[in-house]
Amino acid sequence: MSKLRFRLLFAALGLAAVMPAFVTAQQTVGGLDVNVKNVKADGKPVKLSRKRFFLFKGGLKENEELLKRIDAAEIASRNCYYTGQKASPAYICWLQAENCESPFCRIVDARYVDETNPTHVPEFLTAYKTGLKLYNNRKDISLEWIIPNMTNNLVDGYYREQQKVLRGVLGTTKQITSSMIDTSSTKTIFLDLPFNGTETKVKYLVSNVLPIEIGDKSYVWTCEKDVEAGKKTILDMSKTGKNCVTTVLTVRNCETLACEVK
Amino acid sequence: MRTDLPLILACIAAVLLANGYLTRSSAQLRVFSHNTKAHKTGKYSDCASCHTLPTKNWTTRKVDGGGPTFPDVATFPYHTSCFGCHTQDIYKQGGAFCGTCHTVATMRARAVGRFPVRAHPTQFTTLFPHNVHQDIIASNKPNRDYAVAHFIPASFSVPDEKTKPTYYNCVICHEVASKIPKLETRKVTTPEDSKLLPAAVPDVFEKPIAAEFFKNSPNSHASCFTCHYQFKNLPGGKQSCIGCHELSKPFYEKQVTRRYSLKFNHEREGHKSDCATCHVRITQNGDVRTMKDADVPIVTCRFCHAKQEDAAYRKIITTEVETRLAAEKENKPAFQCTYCHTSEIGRRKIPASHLSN
Repeated sequence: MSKLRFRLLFAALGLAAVMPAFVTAQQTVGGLDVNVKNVKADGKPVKLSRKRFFLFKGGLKENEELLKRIDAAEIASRNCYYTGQKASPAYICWLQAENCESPFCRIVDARYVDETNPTHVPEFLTAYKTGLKLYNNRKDISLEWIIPNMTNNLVDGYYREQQKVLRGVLGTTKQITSSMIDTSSTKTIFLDLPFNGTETKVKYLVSNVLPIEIGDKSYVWTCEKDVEAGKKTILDMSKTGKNCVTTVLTVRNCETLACEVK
Repeated sequence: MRTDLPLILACIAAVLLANGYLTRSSAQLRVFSHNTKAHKTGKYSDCASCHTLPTKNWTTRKVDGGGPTFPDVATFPYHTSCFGCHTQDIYKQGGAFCGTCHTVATMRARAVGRFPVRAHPTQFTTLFPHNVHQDIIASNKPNRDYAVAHFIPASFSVPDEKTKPTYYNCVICHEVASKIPKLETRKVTTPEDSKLLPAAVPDVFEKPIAAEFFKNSPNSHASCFTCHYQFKNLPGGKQSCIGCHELSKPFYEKQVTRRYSLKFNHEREGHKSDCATCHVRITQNGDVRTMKDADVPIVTCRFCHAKQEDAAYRKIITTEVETRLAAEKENKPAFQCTYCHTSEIGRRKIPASHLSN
């Protein structure tokens, strides 16, 4: 190789080595703190603990199609879903007692598989007995591994239904990311929001997208916010006005039996 | 040298001749690889063609940490998995092939090694989408502000203290460590020339590092099978071992905990809130292998340790950053931020994330 070619190659390699550092040094990010502490539904404060919020580029105007789909979204209530799946009243009561959406929510303790206990749940009992056969009569494993021995529609069926609704509402709108509200129902944070070139401010849209069932209605909170480069911006989802939209939908309800009083 | 050359050449020739004379199967030379064409195509593309779940010995195998046994892939595949292709190999070299699984490489071998073989590199990485699991495990606090109108009448059983429900959340898989793990200071993303850094000051710990500072990660199927035994509740197309295990270049899994802040104590009062309050990035992540930066961003520490005035530790971030900047401005020896960090991290330049509000 001639000396000139060798020098050019060396220079190219050197440039390739420093280029990533150069690019990284230039890229700025911003953060968005989404606060839901004061969010209200029907005038009353609500807890949005562990609900997922989605982030989109653009504001309300740029995401008009998404908002239209949110308006048209239909979800079945949790109780309606499980009633439709012929779940026992005891199972629905078990879910309802701690506002769970599936058996993944909380551990099934021994009283729910005890036939002599009036609060036992038939679905858990059946799964437990299946486990005893499969796991060499090991009661501990049969109780702990209840979920794999239950029918799918009672385990993650509701989650899959919700995901179907979510996919329909999202449509072709691409989310940047999503994040879950903390257990204390205070906030979530979107980090590392990129800014291109000379951008100093970018508008984003935040929404739970999937209607959240509260009482006999469901709610979608959607707000837009300008995020500044290199800073953390706070978005209070409880604010009303031109930057925020609250969509209230009726939830399809089903008649179910009452749960036992203790 | 010239007189030795023929001797050297003769030795090399002798070795090559011996090599050619002694016919051996390549199967006897290597640790079992899942990544050969023969082992991952055709019927062997299905893990179940070799691996049984559960294996017969699950009731008696020793579990790491001394926990109870549970149905698992607890031993090597049975002979029928190998003999179909390797019939010739098992009769050669006195059964050297048998050493792939058995403790003694002989045709009379009985005992098998511990499965999996810890001394061998791992051939699979684990897939675990935290964001999906968080969605599904999401536990809701009782929302009794709203009557459930479609129950007529509606009433709920209120659990007493003894039967308080235990919610599924991060701690189902990430328990408080029972012993101090191997520790390392995590490498910073913008490394500096160590010659330009001030010498690390001796580290002082308010409380000596203890096991309770740390949470562990699952290293067996125990917690996973609670929901996914026999591949239950996995998405379509993922209902086999490949749902969670992805073939990769062999690597040795280092059981090392790396942190920017080795002083952080998870069990300290005030640190025992919801994991996702601080571990923010993980909730947005579908593949931990792609996570580049700290799971806990400084912004979450600021919730409690930036500007609260009621105690020194409650504004420690601001205090230490200001002290450090002041020292730099006055050309004094650099103050090292060691309330949260060990001096290995604390002596480094303040990252941009710590300077923004």
